[in-house]
Amino acid sequence: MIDSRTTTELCDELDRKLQQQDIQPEDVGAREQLLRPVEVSVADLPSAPDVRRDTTAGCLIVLLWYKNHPTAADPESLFAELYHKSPLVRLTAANAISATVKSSHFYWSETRSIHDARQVLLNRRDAETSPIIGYQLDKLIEEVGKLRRTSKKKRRPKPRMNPYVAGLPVHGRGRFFGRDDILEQIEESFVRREGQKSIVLYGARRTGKTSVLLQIKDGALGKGFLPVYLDMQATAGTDLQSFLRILLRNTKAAVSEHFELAWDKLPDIQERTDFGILQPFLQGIIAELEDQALLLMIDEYEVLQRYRTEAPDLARQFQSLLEQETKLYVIFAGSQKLESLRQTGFSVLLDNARYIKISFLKTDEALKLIREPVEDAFTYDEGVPEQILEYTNGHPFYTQLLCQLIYDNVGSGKTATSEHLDAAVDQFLSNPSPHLILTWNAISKEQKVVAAALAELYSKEEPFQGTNEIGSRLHSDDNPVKLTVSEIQKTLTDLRTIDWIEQKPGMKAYRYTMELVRRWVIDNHSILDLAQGLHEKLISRVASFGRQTAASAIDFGICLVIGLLAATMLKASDSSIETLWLYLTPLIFSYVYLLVPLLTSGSTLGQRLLSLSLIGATAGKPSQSRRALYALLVLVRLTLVIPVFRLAGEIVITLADAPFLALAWLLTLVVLAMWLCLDILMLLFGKKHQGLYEKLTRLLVVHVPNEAE
Amino acid sequence: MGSQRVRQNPYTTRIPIANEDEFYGRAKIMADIFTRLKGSQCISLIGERRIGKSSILNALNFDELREINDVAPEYRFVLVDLQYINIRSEEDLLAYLVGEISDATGISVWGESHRHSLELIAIQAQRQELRLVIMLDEFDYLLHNDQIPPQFYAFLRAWITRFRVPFVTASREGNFEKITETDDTGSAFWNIFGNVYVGPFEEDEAIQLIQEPADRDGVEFDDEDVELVLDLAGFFPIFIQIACYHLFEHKQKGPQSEEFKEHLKRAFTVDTVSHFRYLKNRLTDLEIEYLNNFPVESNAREDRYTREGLLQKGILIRRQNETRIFSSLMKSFLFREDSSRRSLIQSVKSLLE
Repeated sequence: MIDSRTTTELCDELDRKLQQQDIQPEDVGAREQLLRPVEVSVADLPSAPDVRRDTTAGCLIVLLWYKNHPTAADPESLFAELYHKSPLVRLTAANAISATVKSSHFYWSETRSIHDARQVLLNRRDAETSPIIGYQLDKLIEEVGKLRRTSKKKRRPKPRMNPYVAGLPVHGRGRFFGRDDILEQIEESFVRREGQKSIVLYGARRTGKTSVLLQIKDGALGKGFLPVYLDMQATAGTDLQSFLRILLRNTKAAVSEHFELAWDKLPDIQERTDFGILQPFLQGIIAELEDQALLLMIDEYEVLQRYRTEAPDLARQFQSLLEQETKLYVIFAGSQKLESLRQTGFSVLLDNARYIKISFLKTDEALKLIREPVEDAFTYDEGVPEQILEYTNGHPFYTQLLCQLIYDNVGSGKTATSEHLDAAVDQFLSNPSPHLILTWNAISKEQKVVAAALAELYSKEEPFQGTNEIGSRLHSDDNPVKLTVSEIQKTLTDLRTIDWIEQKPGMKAYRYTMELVRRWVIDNHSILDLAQGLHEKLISRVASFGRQTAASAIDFGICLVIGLLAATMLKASDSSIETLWLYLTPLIFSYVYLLVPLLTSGSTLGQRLLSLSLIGATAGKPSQSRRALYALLVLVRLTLVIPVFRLAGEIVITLADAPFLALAWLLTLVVLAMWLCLDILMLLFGKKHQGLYEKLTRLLVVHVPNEAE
Repeated sequence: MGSQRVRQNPYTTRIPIANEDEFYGRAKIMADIFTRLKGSQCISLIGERRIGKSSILNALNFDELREINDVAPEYRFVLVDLQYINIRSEEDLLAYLVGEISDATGISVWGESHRHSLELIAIQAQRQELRLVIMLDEFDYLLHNDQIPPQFYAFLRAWITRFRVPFVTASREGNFEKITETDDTGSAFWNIFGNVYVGPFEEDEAIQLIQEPADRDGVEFDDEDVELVLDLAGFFPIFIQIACYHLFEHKQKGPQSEEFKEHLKRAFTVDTVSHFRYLKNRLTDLEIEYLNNFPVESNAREDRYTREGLLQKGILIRRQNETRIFSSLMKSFLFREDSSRRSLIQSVKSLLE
């Protein structure tokens, strides 16, 4: 180790050498020979050498010490040396700075410092003339650039991963909860029930049908079954051949997972695939299965009906195959109403099946689903899991969704409280799942109105509501859809199939199954909202003024021409009865012409020719009484025009023989113009092309474009 | 330290962020998305235009974010931007999709049809223990494409379920109702999706975006500057970028004159007027009425929900226990235009009269 006196001597000696020879950074050998011994000498000093910094040698000695003790350096002072006139000092300063970067000097933990430094380095790099110092600065800039990215990275905390995932159907037992009863029912059906070959597993979307099938695929029914899973949606839009090919390909893949089969002995499914191939193919496989039965699981089975035109006997052929093959079973899974499929020729297949409904989880299963995934992270406050179930009733999808939000709200906390649950419910309501929105979109307007009324009628004291209460509520709110009690009853039954409502046992009273859904309906779809939405939709469909007027003109033209023809035919007569007949003929014709279609189909010939239709101002088809009232008003209009009409007729008859035929036609046009003026006035009295008569009868004339248009 | 050269303005971003260094905030959303993806959940990113949905799609593939969210290296994120391709048929789309997956995984396949190719590539990816994530940007282009039959979405749903390949979609529409308004995709497809709402930044994220880029370039935005930007831009990243751009330019010019704030507001207004109009048009009648009467003390259910909705959209922001309209400019913009609009309830009543 050298002392302070020796350091001064070392500095003086270096100074002398520097004055004697002009060593540039690029003279690597000479530079090393000059500086290396100095660096070795000062490296062991316990503190920075106490030398004069106003000399080149002094600067170099201090920088060399800092290069070896980077954590003791002040990088700001090192940057100042990058502006030194001696290139050797600048190079050594760059090396010393580099050492501070590598030593993780606290200076580099500040983003601000990094950016200041980078700016200086970039400036110096631009100004630097020495290639080797330039190279060193480039490297330094790169190193500092990496620090820049690292500094940002350090700021991001590692998040905790949410164990609740309400996503794709569940594979494996790890995340699958409950449904033991469903699996038991399936097993019991196939194993213990003689001749039971098919099951229809049905239930609303997102209740876990596919997850159950995937459990069976993973062996939930034991080794007695060789399961083959087919998602019918994979075949969507394809022809029957493709469907059968995919079915057989899946079967082949499933069988190959369990044992080797001599596939060449079976029919080639690539060549030709039809039902004639399916049967021997499956028989060939079944013959090789010793103690096992082949179980086909057809998910989203509703898609099968798309093949009914191509293969009307498909269902019968399937059933026949099931009856022939003792070791062949089928599970159909889907959400569509069974009745709608029965009408498409599938009754032969479905009537022989056992129906198993999949719906909410049992309370103990749902509580397990809530508690188990977070056992290591936090605990629920007493009563909170039960409160979750009040919102979801154990619906697997919605329960997972709420738990997912609660998990995020708890954060790094150790307890999930009812406040966390309340916040989660609010979050869900402001950003509901697509499933909920789509379910709402898919139900009919009658169902929407009844669902909205039932949601609004709810009270904690009386959660169940009867059809009469719903009917009264709809009436009092001037709802957009008029429903009778029996229609309300039917609508409620339909809502039950999507698991939204339940019936009080033995009573005709209903309530929401899930408070979460009820809250969403209340917040987003009140009866007033529905009325507003529906009305705006209808108003947007109202026919244009021109089209409505044109329809009236057509009707009037027909009345006029036929009326004139009749009058001309009868003009020769002089008897008073025939004179009366002369006036009545066009009138009766016009009445019949306008009234009959209005009362039967709801629109006149002119309206139909221009694709116009009369609908209720708040709902679809107008009632018979509304149509009758509308027809009566049209008659009033016609009757008002009749005196003018009669006058025109008389003038035409009088002038028909005279040389004033042109005048007669001019008068006819005047009458026509008057008729149109009346129509225009009617429309102007109304709103948005809703004429006065339509407004009085709460009807709308809408344009229904036909396909050609 | 010598003379400073003119610094490049770091707030020039107006397009989706593709560079990891320029991506700020979104910590909670990114964690949420990665969590869901690990559970193979499909995600639909919902949020107003220019809020940053496409940037989030890009960010899913950023090394740093993958690392801190513990995303295993076998994940392959396949980004498909649908606005750049001309899709004339299902086959076109499938060919493009297969090509993109092939690029991301290095797997080449040749099937009897493109549907079959998509199945084969997924099988190959599974064999190589790769986990695919498909990110579809500008998904509206597909939804409104008449050439894509509804059955295609049923096939996609089956493919997703079978191979457990989650999709992340980003659409231009601000809410899910709009996306499914002319829905040809079928509910089965959307049923497996979860919504992730992309709103404005959190307050600390907004401040980070204001200060850090300038800081990295050696320009300090002090507390007064931060307040000025937040007063103009609220927590909207695009507005923050625009406000900071002009602030940075002013700072470059040296000491600020008295009129500096007015200049800044004018420049900001010119750049943002169309965005503000869009935001205003997205408000419901109830929300406009609420804002017209702001601050509303009422805690009635309707007001509470409207307030929460506006907070979620970022139109209202909460700072230091005070709730305010996010931008002083938005405030004047709102009150300047058609203040006489009727409320929803009033219009319903008049329609039913």
